[in-house]
Amino acid sequence: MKLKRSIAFLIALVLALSIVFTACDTDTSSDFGNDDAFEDGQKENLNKPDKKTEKKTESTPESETTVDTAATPEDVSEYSGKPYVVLNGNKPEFKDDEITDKAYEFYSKLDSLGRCGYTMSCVGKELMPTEDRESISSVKPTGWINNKYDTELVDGGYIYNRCHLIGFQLTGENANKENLITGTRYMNVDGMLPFENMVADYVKETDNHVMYRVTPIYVGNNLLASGVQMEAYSVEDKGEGVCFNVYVYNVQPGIVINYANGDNWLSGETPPQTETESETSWDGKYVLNKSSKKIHKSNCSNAKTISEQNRQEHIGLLDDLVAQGYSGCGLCKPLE
Amino acid sequence: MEDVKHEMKVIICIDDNGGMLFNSRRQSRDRVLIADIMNGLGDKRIYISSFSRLLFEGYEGRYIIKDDVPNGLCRDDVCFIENVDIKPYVNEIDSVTLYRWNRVYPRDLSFDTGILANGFTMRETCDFEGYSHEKITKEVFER
Repeated sequence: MKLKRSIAFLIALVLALSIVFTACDTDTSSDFGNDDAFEDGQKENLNKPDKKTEKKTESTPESETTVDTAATPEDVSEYSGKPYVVLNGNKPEFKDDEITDKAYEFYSKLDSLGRCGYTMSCVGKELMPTEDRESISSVKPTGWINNKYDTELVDGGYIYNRCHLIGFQLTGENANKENLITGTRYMNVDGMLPFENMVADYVKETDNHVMYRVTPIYVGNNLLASGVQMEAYSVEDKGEGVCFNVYVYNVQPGIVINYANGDNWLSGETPPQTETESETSWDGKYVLNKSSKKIHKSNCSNAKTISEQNRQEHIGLLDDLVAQGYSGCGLCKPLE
Repeated sequence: MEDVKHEMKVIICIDDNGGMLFNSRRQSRDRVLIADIMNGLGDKRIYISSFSRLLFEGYEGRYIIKDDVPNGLCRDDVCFIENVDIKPYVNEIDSVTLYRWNRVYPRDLSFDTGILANGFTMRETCDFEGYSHEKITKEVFER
């Protein structure tokens, strides 16, 4: 029994010391690297599956969760059962001159495809909502091809949520199209929400501020993000309270997703888009009739009858077109 | 052979998945929860590691810093655990008080609630509003 106690003591001592020493390593601001990759508001051609992701396996107690790690979003390998991967040893990449205790929020302009870019905030109590969230259903983010599945497979049934990049509980943003992407239910609830909760409750408890950045990661011209990078760093205590850098997968277990346009189907079933059906499947683009002011999906049979003179292709959001007097075709219903 | 002693009382905060820490940071904190702990102590002092000292500011003199907590504690000693897996000590524990955040946070160190199935019975449970948490649930398990 004494021997068992001694072994238990040694294990606990080593574990406690390792955790304490890591926790005290809070002076991470000087380690934050270059942020050039963020300056254009987009990250493209990322998330290439490869072999660089490794599993952190040095922990010994069963109650320690094995966490997949990678250096950058480019190094992240394919989803393998965990909703997120730790990036850069959990050190966020804020530049020293970006770190401030003055609350603010920033949302990138949509790109030419209508996609969101990075969002960034110094989260403080002064930005947090004081009223209930309003409807956000007016926003149709890119890749929004929503399908309903068995609720045992997808919580709530529908695969997609309008997913806040900066969560409503942090900055109170409602139907801000620069802050909403198409995200799976799994990414929203199992992936992003725990991190948002951690930041929100820390700010409420301490009155401190947290630097917070969420970057959607797109491959090429895909309309659906492969995932999001989430970074946070508590300002007043130099990261002692909150400090993370993770990549969250935009996946839904049991469902296959075409990231080019957001289409999705059950694993093991035939994709809705096959070679022989390619004429009728939709690629996420639109065709405008400049004369009748109608918007068609590119695969709509009515779109094929538009003369070259009146025909114009369109990719991205439709809000501005509607404001210009355009309406949706009654056959293909592009606004629904 | 030395008898197994069921002695110490441990207090742990967990999320809906039993999580305690992520990236060596506590998942969450709440001053009302700490006040509830201290109110329940009576004249006793609580053992904490230096990792937890920040949470107990204002209660100086009512806690004892012991960085190898819960090792070596005696009968009825009370300790607050944040960054240690208590599984190796389960046979020495007389009582476990869980404070549940009723939230989900990221985690890489968890409390295995399965150990409570080994001879523990829940004697008390109650909900209360925290300073930064809508509902905190307190559960007291005893042998």
